[in-house]
Amino acid sequence: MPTGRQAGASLRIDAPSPPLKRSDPQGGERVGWGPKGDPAVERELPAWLRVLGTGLSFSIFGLLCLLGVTVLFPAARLWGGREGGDLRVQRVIHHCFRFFMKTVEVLGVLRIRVEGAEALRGPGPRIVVANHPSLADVLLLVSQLPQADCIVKRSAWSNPFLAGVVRAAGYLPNDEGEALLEACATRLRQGRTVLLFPEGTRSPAGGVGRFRRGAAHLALRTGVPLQPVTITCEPRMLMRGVPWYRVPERAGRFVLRVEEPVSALESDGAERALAARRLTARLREGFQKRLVYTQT
Amino acid sequence: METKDEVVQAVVVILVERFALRAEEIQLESRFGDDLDLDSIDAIDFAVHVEEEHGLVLDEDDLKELRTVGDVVDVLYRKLEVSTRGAA
Repeated sequence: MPTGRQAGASLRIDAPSPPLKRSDPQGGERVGWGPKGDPAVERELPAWLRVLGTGLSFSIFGLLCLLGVTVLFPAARLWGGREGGDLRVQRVIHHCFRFFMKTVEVLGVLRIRVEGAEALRGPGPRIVVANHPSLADVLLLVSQLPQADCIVKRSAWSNPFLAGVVRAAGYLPNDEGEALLEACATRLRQGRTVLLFPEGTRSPAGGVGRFRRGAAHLALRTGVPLQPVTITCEPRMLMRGVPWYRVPERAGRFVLRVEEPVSALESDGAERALAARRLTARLREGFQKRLVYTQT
Repeated sequence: METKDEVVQAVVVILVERFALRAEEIQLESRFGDDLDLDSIDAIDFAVHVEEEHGLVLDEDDLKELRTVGDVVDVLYRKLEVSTRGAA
């Protein structure tokens, strides 16, 4: 269909990266490239330097994983203290990712702004749910979460770089249905933070995909509200199906916005299959609305 | 519930009433995951409803084998036959 293709093509070419809205309805703490930081006048590295920086970032990340598995995590486990070994490892991972994201920012590969981060600190339990536009999302989120039980694709357990990390941190593989739900519920009852991407995979460009209902089931089962975090990146980078060395025309501006929590309502009904559907639908609608809002 | 058609009907009623599906989207060849967007938690709930409403037990091994609505109907019909023959 020539018309459809034309429309799609012109959309991609003509759409200059729209400026991101800077208003902050929650009036929360804002960290990062600041309210006055106009991306157009900020220092911008040429693309080839950012490709180099991106490659370097991946290498640093690999080294960090290696250092973690061989030295940092065993040390964290040996350190003692009252909290469990996996919690100490998670804290080490949090600091590593924080350091890593700072490094990536300094290298000029991307910029990060976080709005309302204080809602992610302090005692849990909380269920953090985010959309998943890029490869960097989990790093961005964990760098903001001092403790997080991540739900990770099963394939990470056979990935040479990640296997040691997911094991030491006690992360949970995403393929276990009822058993996974119960494992997550147990951690929430201990006041911990569970982090998951309801789409189960990276989001399609500019929106959200189909949501799985695990997060809603978890909220219904434990009474813990869902804490959405909207992730946007302008221009988009590190997306699904795009090779890492294809960098955008300028460094991507990542914005993490911590939103109002979403709770199960009485009107969702008592029957869990239906209640989980309604809660999931509300959660997804919220993400859709906010993504449209930040892109126009 | 005695005939296969009645089993089909019962399955459709559960899917519509308990899982908010539309009757017209349910075919015998519909796959639970890809076509009807049902997950493993739904499978357990479905088994609970079948047992409560019709007294037929679907255990975990049964559920693992089931891919389509037709599969469920076949298994339930077999169980129904066994139970009625046992009663007779």
